[in-house]
Amino acid sequence: MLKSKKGIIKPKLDSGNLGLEIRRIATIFKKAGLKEISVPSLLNSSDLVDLYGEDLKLRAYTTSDPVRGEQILRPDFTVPILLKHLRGNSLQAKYFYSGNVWRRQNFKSVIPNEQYQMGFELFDSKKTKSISSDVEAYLLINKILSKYKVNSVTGDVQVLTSAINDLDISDYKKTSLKRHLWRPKRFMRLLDLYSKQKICGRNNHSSKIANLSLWKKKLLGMESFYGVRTKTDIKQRIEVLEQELSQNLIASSEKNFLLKLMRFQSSLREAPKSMLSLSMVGSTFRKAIENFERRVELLSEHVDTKMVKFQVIYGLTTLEYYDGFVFGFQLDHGKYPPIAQGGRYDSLCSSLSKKGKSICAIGSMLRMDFLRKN
Amino acid sequence: MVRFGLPSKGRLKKQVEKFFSERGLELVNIGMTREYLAEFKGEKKVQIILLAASDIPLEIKKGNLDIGITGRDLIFEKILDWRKCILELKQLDFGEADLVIGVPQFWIDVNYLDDLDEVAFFFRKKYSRCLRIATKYQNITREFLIDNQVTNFEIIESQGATEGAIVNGLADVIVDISSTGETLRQNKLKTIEDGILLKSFASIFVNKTYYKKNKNDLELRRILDQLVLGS
Repeated sequence: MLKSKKGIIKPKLDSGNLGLEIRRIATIFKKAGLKEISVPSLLNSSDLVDLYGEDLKLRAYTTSDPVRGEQILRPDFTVPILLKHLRGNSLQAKYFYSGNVWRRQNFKSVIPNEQYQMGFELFDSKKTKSISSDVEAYLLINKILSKYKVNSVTGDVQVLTSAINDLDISDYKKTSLKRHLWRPKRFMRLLDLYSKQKICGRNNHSSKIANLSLWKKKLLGMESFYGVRTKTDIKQRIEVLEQELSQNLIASSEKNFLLKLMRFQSSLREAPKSMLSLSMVGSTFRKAIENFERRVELLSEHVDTKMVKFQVIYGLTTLEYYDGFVFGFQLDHGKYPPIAQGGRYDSLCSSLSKKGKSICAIGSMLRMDFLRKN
Repeated sequence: MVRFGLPSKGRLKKQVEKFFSERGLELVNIGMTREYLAEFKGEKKVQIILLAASDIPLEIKKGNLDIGITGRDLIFEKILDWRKCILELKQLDFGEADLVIGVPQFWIDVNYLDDLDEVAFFFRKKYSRCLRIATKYQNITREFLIDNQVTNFEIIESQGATEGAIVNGLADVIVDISSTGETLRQNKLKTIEDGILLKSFASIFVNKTYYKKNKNDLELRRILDQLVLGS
């Protein structure tokens, strides 16, 4: 251990070992037909804040520049690679990357704020190929990590969103529920708000229903309006709430099904069957499970899926922007964060790509700083 | 010599002076040009340094000041991990103010963070941009809203006259200090029920390293007992 003057302990740099690992992994990527891609370390802040919102600034380092405006030190590779790929003409591509990312960490975190990552992104224009590229992605990481003692966990957000789509409720409610899948506190509050039977007595909105017509009257008497939000906007929102909070509520059986599904976990092998045996299975959900089952079957040809864990909500709160199959690999020992994580992010692609261009993608990253500790 | 930082202007300065005079201590200026250096009459062991209340946190952290009086809001905002390097010696009964979210009064449908989140999503959908929040307290605001799982907002830096940011079209919502709510009302703004980010007041803060090293020093003890604790 190196001790600096101020007493801050710097980790010993084991660059030789890291270099060997980088070369070994790059060779695996190249053999799998992936092409190396590079993106700048300094990114334009406004592009990214638009995308992530302020959350980003809590995690990423921002730099000031009076000429070029605020810049951000690359917090991950996925988004800059996606943006670069979308600027090109090709739809299909397989990239791998290698380099530093910078993220603020909280006081307790063992993750270095400058960390070396390698990883890949697989782009395709055809949704039909999703299952095979999901499997390809998982197997690539599995191969790289085969020399370490690791456990893997998988999840699938699609299972949850399809179950929400099956609910007998308005699109408004479905959209807000799906929008907050990543934020458990808010999701549970919404679920409660939209349900016939409320668990939480002092739900903010419950007193609201009574207030709605009162508000409309009060709004008529208001005189000074400014800003972009207009009187009509407000009136419309009140009307939507009036309708949504009184009609078409989620039945308690449906709510219980959702809650059960969110808690669901088993081995990947058993998962499709067990999930279909839950009550209330609708047609969209059934279709999602059929897809899921095909993926498990394909994966089972290569790995023992009885040994792979499955949790419906795995990574929901930490794996931002993933919306389909997700996976993570954890070292057998030590309290380290997952050394590899990845997943599918089709909706991020479609929200960023130009009209008429449809792109699907799955990617994964490896935290190299923890790999070489073995 | 103990280096003691105090606010150089405003209401907080007056309240600090009152606090000391209640303890029989009189501040006298000793600076040559402007009154940024002072001492307590008859007390040669304390050097008073007058500076902007918002600069006090960082100067205590850096060790340029040993002790200081300032608002907790400023400590929280300026130094995210302040408990690591600064000790809160005594909470004082002045400088009370809440850090609150202010929205236009006519946003009659926005009374909770839930509403704010939904409206922010509406901004994203209809105007393809985030809800803009003007504030001097960027760090506290960001952390509070993310903790409460509000999304689709963007913080706009504002160094004063924040209440005007909405009427001027620079922001949709503000986060600012409010002690009576009068300024908010004058600007046709209202607070929301669960939108108090921080209940603030003035405190005496001390640099942790300095305190650990000197806490058994009789001179410092005497000064602290006399000046700070009023006994």
